[in-house]
Amino acid sequence: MVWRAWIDRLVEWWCPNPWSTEVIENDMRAGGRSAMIMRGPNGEESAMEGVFLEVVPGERVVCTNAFTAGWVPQTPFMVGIMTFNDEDGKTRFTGIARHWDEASMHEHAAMGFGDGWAIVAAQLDAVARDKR
Amino acid sequence: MSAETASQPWFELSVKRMVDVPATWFGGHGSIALSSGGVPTPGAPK
Repeated sequence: MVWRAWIDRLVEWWCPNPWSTEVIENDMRAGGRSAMIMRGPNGEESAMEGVFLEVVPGERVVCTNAFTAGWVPQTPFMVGIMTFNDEDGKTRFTGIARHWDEASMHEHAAMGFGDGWAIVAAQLDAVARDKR
Repeated sequence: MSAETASQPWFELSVKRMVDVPATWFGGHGSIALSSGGVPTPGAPK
């Protein structure tokens, strides 16, 4: 049930501290709903609503906010791809954000994608080392 | 972080990190169950 452990502990690594994550629903299958609220230390709130496009346990998760559950289209921002590749007993984690247009990519970069996702990757690393 | 804008019809940002546990920790090899609401992998433990 290690995959479940990873999912169940998602709140510990999904967004950079001191922000926190509330999982509304993560239905980990193609077309399943992904809904989370990220909260900042000063009362900020950022809601995410989308669907999973592909789920391969331990290898690859693809999600997007181009749809909500039931394939209802909404204004898209990105497709997120997370991959886990085994390399000599370690795991190479790759987080990719693909955008429809260059402006969205720059907007995402300005929102702190680089620093934010690097922190997230580090938090995931820490959770993985603390295997419970 | 890297940005890719050249030869692809999409605009990409990415990060990579080596995590010091085997990929099986993340549920690889198809022998685990998905979280609630998911479709269990055949042969998954109850």
